[in-house]
Amino acid sequence: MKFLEKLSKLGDLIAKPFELIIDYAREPLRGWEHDRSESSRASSHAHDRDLEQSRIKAESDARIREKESEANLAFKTRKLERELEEWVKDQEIARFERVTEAVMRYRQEFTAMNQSAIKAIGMMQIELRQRAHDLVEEKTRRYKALQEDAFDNAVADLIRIEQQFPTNPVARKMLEDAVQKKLATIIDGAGRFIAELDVDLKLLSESVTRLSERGEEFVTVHLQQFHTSQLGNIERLTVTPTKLIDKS
Amino acid sequence: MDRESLLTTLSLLRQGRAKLVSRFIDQDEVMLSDMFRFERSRALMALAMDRANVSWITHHYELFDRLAESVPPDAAAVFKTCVLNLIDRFDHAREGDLTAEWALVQTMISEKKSLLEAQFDFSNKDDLNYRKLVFAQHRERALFERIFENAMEKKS
Amino acid sequence: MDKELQTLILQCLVEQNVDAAIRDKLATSITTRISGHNKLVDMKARLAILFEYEKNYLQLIKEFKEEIKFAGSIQEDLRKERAKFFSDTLKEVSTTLQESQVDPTVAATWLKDLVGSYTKSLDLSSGLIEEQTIDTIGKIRNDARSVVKDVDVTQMP
Repeated sequence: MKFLEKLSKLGDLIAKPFELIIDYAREPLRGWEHDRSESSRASSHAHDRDLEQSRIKAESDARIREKESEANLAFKTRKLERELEEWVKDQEIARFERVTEAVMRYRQEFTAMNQSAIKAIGMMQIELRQRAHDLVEEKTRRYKALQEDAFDNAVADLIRIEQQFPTNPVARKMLEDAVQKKLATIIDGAGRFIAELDVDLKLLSESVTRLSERGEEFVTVHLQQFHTSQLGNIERLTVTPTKLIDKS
Repeated sequence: MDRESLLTTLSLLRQGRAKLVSRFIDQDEVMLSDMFRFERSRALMALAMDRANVSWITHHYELFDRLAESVPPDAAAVFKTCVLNLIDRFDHAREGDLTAEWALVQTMISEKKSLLEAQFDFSNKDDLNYRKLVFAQHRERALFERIFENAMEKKS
Repeated sequence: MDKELQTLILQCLVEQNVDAAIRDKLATSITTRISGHNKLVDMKARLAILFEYEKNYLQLIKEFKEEIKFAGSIQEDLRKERAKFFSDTLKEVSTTLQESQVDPTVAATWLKDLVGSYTKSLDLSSGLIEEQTIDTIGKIRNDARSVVKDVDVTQMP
């Protein structure tokens, strides 16, 4: 029975009860056959014609009953087929639910990973920029201190010049010029270097941005991979029960 | 997780800790010199510590790669999770297969390392400038004193 | 007392033409005695099932005793490591830094960082072992439950 073979592919658990039911459907047929052989043995030879007649009648009866049992069996078979269809439908629904669940879980994980990667990259950027900023601040302060120092020295020098050359404007002018030149060297020098700090800070900031871009690129590639692998997992859930049966 | 996986993971973590301590006990040159060089700069000291931390995380990656094939997949997944948890402020909300994060962090760690180096380079360059200026200040001072002395002599 | 049994016995007594007067009393007494015997049989059956259950359960415990002992010992190792870190290791590191003449404030910052990283790693390890222990206990519980299922308790009279 090909149908039965198909069923057995789904596993004994399902085929077994069906086998039993079909077996049972055959029972009355077997039982009747047994009775028939018994009764033919018991009949006497005296009434041959009657015997013949009853034999013919018995045979047609048998055929009728056979047909009945067959019909019965056919009916039971159709019933089982319908039950199997229902069962398959249930599996389809369950499968659909599983797939939906998997898709939802995948979306959650995808989003979570996306977010965690973005957050990590963001944090790293912020930290690095903070470091650079602090560094520049420290160094600027250092230059400013140097400038102040130079300024204080200049003031002290000018006082000294006042004190030492009160009546000598020529000498005073020369020395005051020297002081100014000296001061300018330091002030301008520091100013230049501070400006350089600014430029370098911008460059550092740009590298940090490039880091984040590289990181984002990376994330995209890896999220692609993650995406593909998860879809693979979801597809594995999509083998339908009917496919299993059709494999016969 | 089976016994072997657990022991492998614990051993890897323990080796990581040993590295932490050995850097101090064995007087790692880079670390120690940083401690002196940046005594007076909080920003640079912070960068130095960042560098040390990056190197520690990288060490865990190295420990893992060294064993690579022989680590059972169970242990590998758990170890990776642990390492990611060692990183400050990394969002570890997600469970499950963290291969992507593992690789991502590896890239970011190496990027961070080069950016940290860039900051040190920047700092060193500026140190040169600063020293130049300090030198200039001394020189200007010395030159001025000469002029002043000269003028004083002329006065008398 | 088993009413069905009693009825049956009464019937037998009637068939045997036992005197009506003592029939009831006899039936009752026989039933009681048989029931008592049944109770004994019941009890034996129950004990047999319980014994089967205990045997399997004890088997489980024996299996998992090793697991639990193992988890306990590595947890203990970790505790020892943690204690050693805070007593010996930190002292050694601190001394080394001092001898190298690292500025005390700087040394303090690095020590703080060391402690932070070290304990994070220790905590992760400890967490792993705990999880393992919880898993083991959970597994014992589950296996115990299935022991109960296998030893068909529904067959208890």
